[in-house]
Amino acid sequence: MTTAPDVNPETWVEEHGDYLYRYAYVRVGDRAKAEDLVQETFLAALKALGRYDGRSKVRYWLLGILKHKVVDHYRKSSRETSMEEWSSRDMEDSLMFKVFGLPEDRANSWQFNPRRAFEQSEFWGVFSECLSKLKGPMQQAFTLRELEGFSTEQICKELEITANNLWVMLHRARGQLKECLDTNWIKRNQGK
Amino acid sequence: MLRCKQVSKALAEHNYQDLPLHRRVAMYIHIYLCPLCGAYQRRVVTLQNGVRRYLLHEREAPPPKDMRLSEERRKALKQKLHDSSAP
Repeated sequence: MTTAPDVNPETWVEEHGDYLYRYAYVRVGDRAKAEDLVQETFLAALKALGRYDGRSKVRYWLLGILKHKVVDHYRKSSRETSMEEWSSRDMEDSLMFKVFGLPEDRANSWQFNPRRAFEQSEFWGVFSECLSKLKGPMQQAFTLRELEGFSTEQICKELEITANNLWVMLHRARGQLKECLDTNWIKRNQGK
Repeated sequence: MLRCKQVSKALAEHNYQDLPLHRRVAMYIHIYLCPLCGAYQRRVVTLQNGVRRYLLHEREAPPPKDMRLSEERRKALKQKLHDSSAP
């Protein structure tokens, strides 16, 4: 038999607020929206407190609620945005994409040393900032696929797009992420 | 031998590290030999590895100063939780 865990919601902001905020900010790229999502999470958690069984840590339970809030936000904003427009028909119609599944623009060499970067804590600050700066639907597609591990079918359903749209958005998101890392990490660390 | 489009599709649908060994080996060979897509696909795998490592970091490491709640919002949230959880 599990006993109701001893949870004090009044400590949540100090103990978990910043963790939840970072999670939301990295995935929505907007400070005010991220703060709203954290607030919605806390309020939803308060209502559901009776169902919390203490099997996972409070923070992970709250993060689970926040994850649903982020997906709800994506679903709503995908209805308000023309995903077709963002998915770039140019790329979808290009020979390179049709035959090889590749973007035309894929500069060959990349002066990035992951082994060195991954060992430095400052790198993760830059990396998270770059994730937060991905644009609109590219951010949604990339987050659901790479950060949350959703399947292609789930993402297409949530964002109301085709598998090819998703494929193109992922190519574009990777391009944006690379560009951001080039500017904010690689160039800054050159010669060090 | 895998084709570029198969590799590209697989990396759009899966994380390289989550693929079964036999598929990873076939992809590894393609990625390291293909003059057309090798460099690009290696970058995709690097970014995927970066995301995996980032998620571990996100789970444990405290957020940097510029990724924390604003003081104003922090206060407002505390007040809201206090009011909502009061008996």
